Amino acid sequence: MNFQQAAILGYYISKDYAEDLFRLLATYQSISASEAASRLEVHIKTAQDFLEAMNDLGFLEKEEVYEKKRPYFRYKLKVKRISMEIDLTPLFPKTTTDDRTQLRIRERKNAGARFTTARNNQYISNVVIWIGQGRERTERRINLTNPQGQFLFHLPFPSADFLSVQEIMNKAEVDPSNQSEILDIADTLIEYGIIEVSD
Amino acid sequence: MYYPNKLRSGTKFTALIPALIMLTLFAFAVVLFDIRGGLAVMFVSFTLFSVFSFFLYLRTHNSSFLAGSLMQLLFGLYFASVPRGIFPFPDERMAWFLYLCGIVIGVWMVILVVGKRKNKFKGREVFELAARATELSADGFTDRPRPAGKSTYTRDELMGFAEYIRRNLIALPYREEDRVVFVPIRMGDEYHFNFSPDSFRQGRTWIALDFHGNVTVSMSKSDYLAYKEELSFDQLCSNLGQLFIKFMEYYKKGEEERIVYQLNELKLSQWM
Repeated sequence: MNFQQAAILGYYISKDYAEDLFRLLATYQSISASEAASRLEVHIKTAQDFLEAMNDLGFLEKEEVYEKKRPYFRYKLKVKRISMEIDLTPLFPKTTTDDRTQLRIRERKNAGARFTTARNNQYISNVVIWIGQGRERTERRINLTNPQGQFLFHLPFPSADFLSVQEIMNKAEVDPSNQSEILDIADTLIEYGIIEVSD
Repeated sequence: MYYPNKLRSGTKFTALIPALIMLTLFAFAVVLFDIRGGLAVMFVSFTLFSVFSFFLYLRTHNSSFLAGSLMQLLFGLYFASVPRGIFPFPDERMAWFLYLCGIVIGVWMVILVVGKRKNKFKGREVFELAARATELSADGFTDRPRPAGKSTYTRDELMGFAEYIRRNLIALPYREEDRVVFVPIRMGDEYHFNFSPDSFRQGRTWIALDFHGNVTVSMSKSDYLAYKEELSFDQLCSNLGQLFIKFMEYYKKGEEERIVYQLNELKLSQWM
């Protein structure tokens, strides 16, 4: 199951009517959204959305039925057990010696971000970035971990020479085990235009 | 040696404003009442100046302000005790004695102020020295503090250095949990500082020396824009930090006189 599917399942399974709906599905051979809604006293749209989502996830079987009026769907439970397993492996950094540590970076000129220094300490505690223009402008605050804060504290100024991520980490005395979170904040700030990368 | 000034002209006559107000009030009081009213204005004004100077002395430990406070107090008493003053002494010679004391302390003041430039706030000199050998570079400003290097000193040396810097009006030290933050102060800033030392440091340039030897610099935008040219902000902050590291080295070697000498060598106007 991928993250998106897990999120859908988690969302619907957390509803207080979820168990009752599954009980109905287990009890009935097949059930329509209007039957389930009237049985549980929920809105038909609520029941419809739940059944559709479970069908999309492959737990139900959907059958189009024609009666006197317009056609509608009946749902049948296909499984007796649902398990949620999410593979986090792709989220881990690919290798410990990431080439991106050789990226040469510095703060961008007129970046417009606000860096707040931790009181009495040698690191940045958060960065505030403004996104958008005019009345649509919103503030985005990124709270930093200590290694990230130490790293940004030593980030070269806009008029200074570029330094590689690795050099800045060495200067800031950041432990190499924190490399992935350093690269993560560097990538984020590059994306927001706060950090510039040497060509 | 001659160095072209890198800062914009910043002559401030704020120090003269209280004196001008006092003279105006004196003139009004004489016209509306009589000389007695005018002398009362002078007495009140000098007493207030004396209190102001005394507070500056307490905040900076600089002896020129104590001399100034004493002189202003004696002048105030003189104006109150002359025969037509509000509290005349039965013996006119007493008032003249106060006047004489005021003159003597005034001479001491002149020696301290003109000869030794003791009451000159030297923040401007600090910024000028930091700007030497700084290259031009546009759009370099950031409000992020910059690590400016490391130095070695003991906690006692740092506290002694802070006291020296304060007494010589180079910067105002603010003691924090594990560091001392130095805020350079310029002529004309003394009013804000004297009335509200805590709010004075907000949004200003500072140089912090912590108890582990780390030196950090943060330069305010207004101080950066005070330079005539767009200097490399990175170098400027670095130089400011290095300047204080050098000052600390002088202090540790017992050569602290060099600090004041270097600053006075720039020969900036007493009013800047």
